[in-house]
Amino acid sequence: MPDPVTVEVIRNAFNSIASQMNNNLARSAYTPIIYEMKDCSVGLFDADARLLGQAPGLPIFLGNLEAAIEVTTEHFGGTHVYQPGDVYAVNDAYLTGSHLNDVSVFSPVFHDGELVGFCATKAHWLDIGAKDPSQAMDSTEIYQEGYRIAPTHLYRAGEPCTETIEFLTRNSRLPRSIWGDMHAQIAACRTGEQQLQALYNRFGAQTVREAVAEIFAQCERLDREAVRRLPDGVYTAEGELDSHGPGGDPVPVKVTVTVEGDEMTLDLAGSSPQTPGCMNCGLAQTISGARLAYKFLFNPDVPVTGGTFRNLTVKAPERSVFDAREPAACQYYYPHIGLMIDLFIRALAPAMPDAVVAGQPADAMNIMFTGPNPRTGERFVCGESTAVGWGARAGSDGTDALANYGAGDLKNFPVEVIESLYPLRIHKYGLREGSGGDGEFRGGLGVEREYETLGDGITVSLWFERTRTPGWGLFGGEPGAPASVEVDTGDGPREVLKANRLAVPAGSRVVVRTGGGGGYGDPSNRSDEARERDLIDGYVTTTPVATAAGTHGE
Amino acid sequence: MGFRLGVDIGGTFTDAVAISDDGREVTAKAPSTPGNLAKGVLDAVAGLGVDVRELDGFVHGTTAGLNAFLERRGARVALLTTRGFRDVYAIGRASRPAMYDVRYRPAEPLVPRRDVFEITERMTASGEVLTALDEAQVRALAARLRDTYEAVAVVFLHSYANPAHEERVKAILAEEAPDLAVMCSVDVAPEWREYERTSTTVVSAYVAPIVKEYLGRLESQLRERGFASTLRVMQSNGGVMTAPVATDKPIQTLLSGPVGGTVACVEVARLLDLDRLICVDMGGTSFDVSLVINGRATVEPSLTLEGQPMLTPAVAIHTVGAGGGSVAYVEAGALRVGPRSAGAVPGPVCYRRGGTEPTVTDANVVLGRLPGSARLGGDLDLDVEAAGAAIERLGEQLGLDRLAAANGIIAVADAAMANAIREITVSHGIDPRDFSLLAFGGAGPLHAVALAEELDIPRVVIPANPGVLSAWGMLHSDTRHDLVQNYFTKVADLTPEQLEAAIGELSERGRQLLEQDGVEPEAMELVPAADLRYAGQEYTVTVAWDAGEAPADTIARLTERFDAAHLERYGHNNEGEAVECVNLRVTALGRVKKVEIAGPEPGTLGEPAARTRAHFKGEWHDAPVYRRETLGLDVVVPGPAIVLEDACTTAVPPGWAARVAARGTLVIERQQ
Repeated sequence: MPDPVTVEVIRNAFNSIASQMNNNLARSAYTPIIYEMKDCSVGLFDADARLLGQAPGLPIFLGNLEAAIEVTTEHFGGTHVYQPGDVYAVNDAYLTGSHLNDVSVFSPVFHDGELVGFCATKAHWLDIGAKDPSQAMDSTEIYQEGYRIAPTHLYRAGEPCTETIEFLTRNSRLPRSIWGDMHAQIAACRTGEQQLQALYNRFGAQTVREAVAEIFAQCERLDREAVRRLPDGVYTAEGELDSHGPGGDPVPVKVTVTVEGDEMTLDLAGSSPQTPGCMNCGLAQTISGARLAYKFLFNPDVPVTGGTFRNLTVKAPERSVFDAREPAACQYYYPHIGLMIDLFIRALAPAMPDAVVAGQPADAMNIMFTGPNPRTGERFVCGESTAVGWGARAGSDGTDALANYGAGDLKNFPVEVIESLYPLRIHKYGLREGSGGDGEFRGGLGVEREYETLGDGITVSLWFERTRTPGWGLFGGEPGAPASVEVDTGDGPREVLKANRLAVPAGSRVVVRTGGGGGYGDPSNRSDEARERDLIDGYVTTTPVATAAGTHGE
Repeated sequence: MGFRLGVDIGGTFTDAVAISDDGREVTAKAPSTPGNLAKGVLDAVAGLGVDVRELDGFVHGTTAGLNAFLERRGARVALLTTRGFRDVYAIGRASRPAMYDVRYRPAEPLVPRRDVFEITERMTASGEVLTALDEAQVRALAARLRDTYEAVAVVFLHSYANPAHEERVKAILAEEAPDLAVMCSVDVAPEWREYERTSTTVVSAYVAPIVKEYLGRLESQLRERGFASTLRVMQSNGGVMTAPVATDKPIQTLLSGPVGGTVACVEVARLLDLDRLICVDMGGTSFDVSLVINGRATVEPSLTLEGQPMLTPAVAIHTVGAGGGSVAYVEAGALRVGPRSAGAVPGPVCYRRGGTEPTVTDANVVLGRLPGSARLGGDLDLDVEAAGAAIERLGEQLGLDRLAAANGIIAVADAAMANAIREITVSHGIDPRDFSLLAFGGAGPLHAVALAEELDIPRVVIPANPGVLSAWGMLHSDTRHDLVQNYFTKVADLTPEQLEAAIGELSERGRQLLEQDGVEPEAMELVPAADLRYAGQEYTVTVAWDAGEAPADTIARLTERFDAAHLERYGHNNEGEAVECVNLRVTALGRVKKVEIAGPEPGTLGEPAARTRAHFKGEWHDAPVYRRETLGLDVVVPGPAIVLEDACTTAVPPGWAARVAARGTLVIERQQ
């Protein structure tokens, strides 16, 4: 085995290479959803598709990338298919998780003629030819959600597969974006290939292989130590999503966590069967979400590798919302995953009260406008996720207005950029006062955003969630306020949480208010000082805001 | 005879360097005096033995603004925003860079919510007035602002498209509350993205009264001593500006101190005729990397400090937590080094200040690269035995002996630093092998050659007098102003008349600023540029052109130049794709007069001051130790050898040799 110094040098190099790939991807991508919102992920893998290093990206993609490589290897009947200079794409939601918009692009890496690893990226393609622009919120079968790419060559031995690339771009409403983002992904993979090869040249394949085994063993040791500290037992929590799509039924989710020594099992038995709407996901996505939930509570500071999660088993019933099969629609692959993460944390709260946080409305809270853009003469798609209030925890109020669990470094969309690019105006963007759950520590606030449409032919699609199970409180804390959306097309506001391509003629207003986080601890223990500060700064509104506000907000 | 003076305030010492018209250098140091920084500056100046009345130029790197910002001692700021947008500043970008941190909180804003006021007004994206400014509301608020706050930041939506409302508020407040520092976003950063522009304006207002007070006090005390020349201040962008201009643009002084090192590297590059340098500054707790390309420091249009973004051009400095004080420890059977540092107290074990955990410096001591006699900082007698014992204890947990553990610590630290360099070069399409590595800071020259080996860099440069390098560098900086205007258009739609008018306006403003700075017309240089991207992309690449080029030619070539720049930076491009312009820029430079610098006399390699056992590449070597000041011009010191000077030690491993070049600079190259 190589000495601990070499192991550490190689470990750091893996994460550094992933960062370099990520810089490259984010800075040369075409669509804001990648460069601005960082709806992407980057990883470096060994020849067995085990993670070596990754860069900060969208946490919910954690573990999706390795599935893309594994299913490709399986599809082609073995690793013999890989040649230097190849690039592959795959987006089949049942196999690789998330939805069809998220396309994995990866390339094999060779050293001395031998396959030694893979560089992989996943990024959200803005339009892949679904029945509606960008994405449909009311699909009932996966075939309505755009093209489904089985493991496919984009490059073969260094030569572009122009027919395939042409097919992918020509079947998109936004061919230019697809082309640009695909090439940004390929460029990132090429950067990773060069750097991984340099590492192999320096240390030799044998040493790197042995170092990798040791790095994995280190991660596994840390994970097992952390889980062993919990009392053995069965921990459960359950909740319910509002609906599986516009007009759909509620979707129950049940989480059972079993701790036995240093092993943990997360079982989703008792959760909803796969839904007739678009809220479903493949098992790969469920595993990915479970890993994220686990990582929030166990060794969050330690970088993830192929050795992490070896003591975590994830089970979901076949043909459930967590292990959907053809032809289930998968556009909204996340709401039940977000609730699962939230429930996992709640289930373990009694066992680790200082590490957990109270509930949050853990969903993307999407709003998307499409229509003709008078500025360019082309069709526009302006979609964004809206931040939510986070749950409070021991010792601190919840964080206000932050992208939910799965979203990480996903950024909001600047008002000035939206108004410059699209026929939209935003009248208000602010914290939603009073939306945090009360408690010794208060839940964080959701946000409020008010849009006006400025052109004709515009439609809005909406996906807001978690009003049946809002961000709950813990240990006596109160729940946060649920989301609310008002659409006013000229005949007065009406409440609509989910909608697909609702017509919003020029002058219509849409006001979205996202939910707040739950409180932590008994509200009667909240300090007077904290209550006074909340009033002065206007975080709560229950008592009239007396002195300071003056000219605020009237 | 006239001297020009450079003064840099460090955490411990304030450094002063004076250069005479004929290239003679005098240096002095005085303890820094937190709380009254001007005192340390005046002490250091007094130590030079140069008559203040004869100075013809004073360039200052001030940390007054930066310290206030970092220590959160800035002004109480009121933020005035467009009605409906009170929380733009508090919300920021709503993102969580720490992927797995469920307890994440963004940096606390500098202005709490209670101090944010919504004003009735609104511009559209194209700069038309949608809602008129409620002047009465502003007047009514003025008394309260005057009584409660020290500074005001005014940030209205789309003010880059039409600044009228911001300017009107500034005028009203000038009447109603004339003593209040008022910063308008359009003056600070006329670029879109309301959160980043707000953050920039708030930081400006936050440090404005402090910078103004500090520079005012320093200047008046210098005048009392007979100083008759111009006080200039180092800027974050690597240029200098006069003190009055700095008072108006306080945010530009934020990195005034830290950029001094990079600016010095630019001058060393010129001196040695090297056009590409990777500059590394390794101290006790951090490792800073910056780049000099084509003889210029790499300047980025924005920076982020303590989680607060600022749209202000700054020399790009990439920092990682690796330094001499970085602590080595064992986790899950693995050897980890840093980013935690033992700092100055308790410091490395060998400092005898109570440190018990082994650090990178202790490993250097065990390996003999830092001889016990090095006396870091002048009066420190290093405890070699205690350093060795601490490293031995660490090694036992890993099955490594003392020597292997010491080499291991250095290897892990070197690899982390090399990764930091790769992250600012390779991912931007830059090959580090085309560069020379310039190292400074207390620990830089000890590790420089090892880093060069790791990155396959052929040449290492150690500047002379590294202890006062920043102060020296400032003396060689050009006056610089970066002007920007949001200008959103497709390149295909741009007409020569529009381009000429817009660039002409920016150039005129640049020329006026240079005039205010006392720059002679013949020393002025105006460099136009545009921030470009493919239609639909967001991040831009800045493409500059020659000021003399005909606008029609510029437009004709812009797309092609952008294609080439994109290819160089990202490794791919999309020729034939429409290109958009987001901002127009002009960099206004006032070229500083270059002085020929006197260096050491030619000499021969004499007897070493001492000999030491030093460990390199797996074996012990009997290495000579030279005092740097005894080495004459063109002297060659073959490795293995150690070169000692106050506060800095250079290791020359076997297979490399150091040659003394211009101004006593050591150039270390691989031997054939």
